[in-house]
Amino acid sequence: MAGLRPSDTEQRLLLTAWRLEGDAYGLAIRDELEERTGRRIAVGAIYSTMVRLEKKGWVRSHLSGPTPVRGGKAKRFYRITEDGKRTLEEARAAMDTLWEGLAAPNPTREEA
Amino acid sequence: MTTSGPGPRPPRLGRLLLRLFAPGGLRQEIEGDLTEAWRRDKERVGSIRAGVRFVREAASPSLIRLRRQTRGMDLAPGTPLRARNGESILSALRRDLSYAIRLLTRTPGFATVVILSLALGIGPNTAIFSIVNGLFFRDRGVAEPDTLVEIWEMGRDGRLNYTYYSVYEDILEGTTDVFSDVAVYAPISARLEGDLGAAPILGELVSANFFHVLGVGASVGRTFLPEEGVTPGTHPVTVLSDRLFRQRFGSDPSVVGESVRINGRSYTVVGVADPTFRGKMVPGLEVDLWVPMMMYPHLKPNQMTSNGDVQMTGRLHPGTPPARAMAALDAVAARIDEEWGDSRFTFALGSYVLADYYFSPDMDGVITAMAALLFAVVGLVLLVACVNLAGFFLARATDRRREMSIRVAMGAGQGAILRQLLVESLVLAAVGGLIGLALGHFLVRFVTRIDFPLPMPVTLDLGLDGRVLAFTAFVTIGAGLLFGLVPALRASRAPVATMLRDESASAGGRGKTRARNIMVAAQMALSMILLVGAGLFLRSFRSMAAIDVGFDTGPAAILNVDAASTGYEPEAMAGLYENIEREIRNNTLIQDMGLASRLPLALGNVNRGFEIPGVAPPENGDFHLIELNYVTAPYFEVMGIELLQGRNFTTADDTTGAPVVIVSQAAAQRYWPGEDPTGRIIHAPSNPERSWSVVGVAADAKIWTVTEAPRAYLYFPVSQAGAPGIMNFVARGGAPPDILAREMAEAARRVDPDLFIVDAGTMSEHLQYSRFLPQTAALLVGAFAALALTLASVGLWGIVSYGVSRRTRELGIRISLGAERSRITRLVMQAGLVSVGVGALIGLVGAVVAARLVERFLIGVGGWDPITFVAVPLVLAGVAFLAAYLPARRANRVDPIEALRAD
Repeated sequence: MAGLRPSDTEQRLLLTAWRLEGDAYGLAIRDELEERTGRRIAVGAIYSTMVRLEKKGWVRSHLSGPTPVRGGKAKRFYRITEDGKRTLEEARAAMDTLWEGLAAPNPTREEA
Repeated sequence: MTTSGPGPRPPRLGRLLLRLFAPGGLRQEIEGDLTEAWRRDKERVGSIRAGVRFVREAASPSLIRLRRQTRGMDLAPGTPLRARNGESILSALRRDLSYAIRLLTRTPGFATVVILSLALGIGPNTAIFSIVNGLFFRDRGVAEPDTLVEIWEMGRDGRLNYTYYSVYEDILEGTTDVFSDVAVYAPISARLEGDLGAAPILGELVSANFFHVLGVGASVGRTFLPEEGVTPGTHPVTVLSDRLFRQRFGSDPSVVGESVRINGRSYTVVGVADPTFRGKMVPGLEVDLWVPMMMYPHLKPNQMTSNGDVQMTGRLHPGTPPARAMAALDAVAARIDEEWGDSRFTFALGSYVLADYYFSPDMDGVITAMAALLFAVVGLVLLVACVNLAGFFLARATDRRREMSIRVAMGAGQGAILRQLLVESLVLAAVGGLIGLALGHFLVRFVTRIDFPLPMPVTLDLGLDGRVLAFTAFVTIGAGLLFGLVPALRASRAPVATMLRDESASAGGRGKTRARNIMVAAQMALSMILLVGAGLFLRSFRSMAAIDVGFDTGPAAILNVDAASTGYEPEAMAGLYENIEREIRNNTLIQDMGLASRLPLALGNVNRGFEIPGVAPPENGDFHLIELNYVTAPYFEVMGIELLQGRNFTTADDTTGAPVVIVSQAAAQRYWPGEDPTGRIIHAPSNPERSWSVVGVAADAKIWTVTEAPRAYLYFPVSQAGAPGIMNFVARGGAPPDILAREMAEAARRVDPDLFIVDAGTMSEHLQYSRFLPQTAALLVGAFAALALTLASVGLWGIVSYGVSRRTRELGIRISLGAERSRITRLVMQAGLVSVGVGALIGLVGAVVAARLVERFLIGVGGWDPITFVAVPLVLAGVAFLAAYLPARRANRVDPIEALRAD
């Protein structure tokens, strides 16, 4: 179904969903991303991408029961599919191929 | 899924926005996520910041995109998602709205200033419209107003008048084929006594068919029965107004059948009128109750004879054109003419016309003019506010060039940008309009609470209704477009390349500067017009205060009692007044005291017809209609009215002596020019037996208004001509007038504890009757002019200071090149002051025109008043200079090094 490569944002979210395993819902994904990349994304943007990912078959979602901490609203959990994992691997492999033989630029912490 | 969990819930506004913006299929989850985040934030950064974050997220444009993206998708888990494309206008507007809200919450200071300016501009407009609406447009509560017509009497001079009751009877008889029925009504002011004490009330004497003709029913009980309108004095019944019912009787339906005391007699309440009906007399004025016309012998003894103050309303047969009714009325008029021949009724009898005046033939023009004036003033203020805001928005648009250019580069069309900016303006306008509506409402409430200096109780009915809301909405949207359109157009039209390139610290391009300058000029022009208006009204008021009114306006105490309303018979009144006079004189503080039935510059005067041998009556009548007064001899001295010829009244002028009269100088000059009027005779029309001889001439005193020309006036001695139902006691003495007034009132109460004391006040309070309108005009226009000038000055300040900040770099260069500080200041002020100058000049021209238009409201001041036209520009210039100078001083303090470093 999905012949296209995932975009940068899509990859980030896919990875986050993968990392969070069974706990990947809207707010959690956002918090994780924010922690790791230092940037905050609007909740709407997150869902926007997740919907796209789900449309492409790379994630699957299900609703939990209502939870009191959320004022009784349900959580929508996202789970990465096998297709999703595979597409991530492919993307990474493609990048690795291109990186081959090139030296990484100086990391900011070390001296040249 | 809809049960809410334990714990607090995030701000309702945010949840509302979510409902608006978030797509349906994901709303639960999104709200849940944001709620969880909110609860977390509350712990960390406090409720307020958490709440603001929640709202901002809820209004995020990403939600709009999400909505668009998932439109038509079935989002149930496990279902493959389908997509649909296409964006509608509605979704685009949604997006703009969310963007606007986010932007405004990010700059709350700016938003607050804009909203307040708008509220201050819109509020007064709403208030004035409420008043106009209450007076002109509101539903009168009558059925089928199209077939209802007012019947007026037209004199030979073409003026419309109220008429006499007997005329009504003739009309009733002679128009049965055009009118299904005709009702008659006349105003009364009386005194109602009850459990809550005595209170003055405004009522209407009406024919028994009054309610039926108008199609007004009773909410409780009934209206009048036909038999209650036949025989004089036999049916003391009354129908209450809904307002009186609510306020004095607590809406208790058992009041029907109870009796109330009106002017000392018992009246049985038979019903309460429909709440929507407030009386027929004057729109906006609330009538308290209705009494059958046939009760006139008690409540208005002169109604049938000399009170020509009835109005008639007729109900046309369905399908009858007014022309036919007019023809029928003409026939009636001809018949009356024939019957009465030379009698007094032909004085004003010309024909009968049907006319729909809002108030009365006299008042309509005045009230319309005043309403127009007020609207013009508040409209100008709003205009100034809008121009101000346009200036702000223009400056802001400059700051947002970058954002705009990016949007354009991303494919936003000119229309999209325009739409988004307009939505921003309209959102601000909407909030400002809501606050303005509330402000206007409070202003109106305040106005209706004012104690108008009128002898009768005035209650205004000026509430908020659909029309007022619609008007406010209209004004709000208009204002929003007015200040938002021009900046939005400019911002959306500028070419992209220029915007991206032009990042330098210049003041935004020549075009923008020019636009701002034009706005300052416009505001100054408008302010000039308002200020000149205020100046003229102020001068007018002061010159009015300086006019010689012909009597002594020094401190005096005035006691006004109403023996008629208390229930005294005419024969007993003279004795009552004598007793009161004696009791008051016991007080040694009182030095001089006189009695009079009417005071100068009071409202309401009595006139009678007289014939004067050797002097032809005026063209449109058969006798002279002259105003008169019943006084005691000391009155002239107390009031400082000089007796120019002849003598004052003496104790010999009583019921046994020859009837005498003192005339005013104007009367003497008019009727007996160049001669000595003493000894001359005047007599009642067609009755030479009933005559008075002139014994003296009094100096002229103002009767109705301060600006009138001297009028013919007659003074009759109370001891001879009889005591009137209402009497004024005027006294001067050795104590402050308010103390004297109080003691006079107490003296009167000692004589009769039940006596209806209408008022016990001072001369200066009395003079308020005539001063009220010019004073209020000066106050209002002055207040609005000050408001406009403040707004304009704030605008000027903002623009100059903005100019300073934009030109920091340039100024830094100049200073570093050695330019003097004072020169820098001047440079920065230059553009601003030039605009002020241009605006002021244009404003002067406009002010001259405006002055012409308001000339008729001015007293003693022409439209060309030099003092005003010199003083006002000076004031404007001074304020404008300050508004430009203060922020310009900052230019001095620019540190050249900092300036050059910054961009």
